[in-house]
Amino acid sequence: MPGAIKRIIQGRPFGHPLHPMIVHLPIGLWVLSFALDVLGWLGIDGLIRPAFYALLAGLAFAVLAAVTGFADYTDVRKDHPTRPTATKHMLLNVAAVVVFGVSALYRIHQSQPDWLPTALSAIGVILVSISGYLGGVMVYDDGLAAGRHRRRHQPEQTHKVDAAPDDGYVAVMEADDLPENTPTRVEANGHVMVLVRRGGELFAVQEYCTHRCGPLSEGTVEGANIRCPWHRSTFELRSGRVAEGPAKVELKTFDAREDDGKILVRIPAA
Amino acid sequence: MDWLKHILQGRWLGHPLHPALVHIPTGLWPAALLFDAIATAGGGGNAMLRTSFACIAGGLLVATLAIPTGLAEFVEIKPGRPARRIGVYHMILNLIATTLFAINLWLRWNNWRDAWTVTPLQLTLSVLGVLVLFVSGYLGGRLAYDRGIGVGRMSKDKWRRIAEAGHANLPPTKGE
Repeated sequence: MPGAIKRIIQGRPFGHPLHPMIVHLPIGLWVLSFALDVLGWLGIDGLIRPAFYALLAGLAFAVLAAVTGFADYTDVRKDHPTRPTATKHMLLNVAAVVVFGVSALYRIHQSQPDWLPTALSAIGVILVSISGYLGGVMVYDDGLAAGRHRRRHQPEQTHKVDAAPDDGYVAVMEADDLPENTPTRVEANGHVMVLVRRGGELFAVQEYCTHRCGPLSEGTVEGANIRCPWHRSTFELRSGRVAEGPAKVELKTFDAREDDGKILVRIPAA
Repeated sequence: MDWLKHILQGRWLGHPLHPALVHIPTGLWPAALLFDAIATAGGGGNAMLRTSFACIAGGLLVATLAIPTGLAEFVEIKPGRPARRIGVYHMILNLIATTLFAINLWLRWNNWRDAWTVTPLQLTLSVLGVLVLFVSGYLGGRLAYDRGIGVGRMSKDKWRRIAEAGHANLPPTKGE
């Protein structure tokens, strides 16, 4: 998918992810549809068509939500701890669409409360409740898409290396794979850090923000500093010191150099 | 009253309650406008209007529940932070949207069973309510995705463990 289209589907020009905007519609409409079923069983009549229309509209918007969801999914680093949650979220939602789709078919000619479409909707509501919960986990526990609209680079899988240090240094990646001003996540002998090449220099600081452990590799380089995407704490790349809060504690820094086409970082002695 | 604030913040749920609840009105009120528009364009008749009515009513019910959860989030934002001002605008706009839809519901209260058209006033209220909601909802999203309100609040222990495994320098924990 061309980068520009994907960026629009993700909502980057709006400064706000699109997927979380659109999902309100299927969630609200499917829950309403089920509630109308229940009210119908409780004796209020005239709700059968409304329950069908609400469910159908929910399906239509769910398809739109799915497109934006897939676009977001492709931006989740493959080794991000929350990727399995994202996969489960997606599968639950696909299942919900199928279940509500079948429920819709039974409602086309429905004229009175019917246990099967109601049961299907109940299952569907349970599925989206779980997947919605997981959506909340991804955003509020794991910070997915927080600050994403500010960054320009695509987070890649971590460059992971386990090697015996040579004079304290470990080769972690090819120098050609580190573009200018692009935070790049690296794990060297268990030390997780972010590398930045800037103005002919190489910087390496710890990956985890000292505020709430946000991913600096998904943040932004601003002048001589790096900014955390979650709550905007800013640190000097050279020294690791806090330039702007809410963080209060400095980052660990590592010495990094380029040699023979490779980037090397110095690992502290165990 | 900390216990009440913590319940409203969703600490029992493991993540903020306010964003979960607001899905209902934020989904249903634009849907009400959609159904109003379809009814106005001639489709669906009374059944479409009942659907619209149900959307407005359902949205209002849950919006009312969402209000205290929103306040519980608001009081956590430190004064002086940009998020505080955004939060105030978000709150005021939400109250306006809720009022517009409450009036809209009241106008439909007596004839939802047999009305066949949306009156111009009802349709206007739906349009205005949704426009206000789009702005207030957008600001809500900015609070989460641009300012990080609620992000990482209840997952500190989990991320601390991950960061420690990655040999990060971290603030001392309370016991140290």
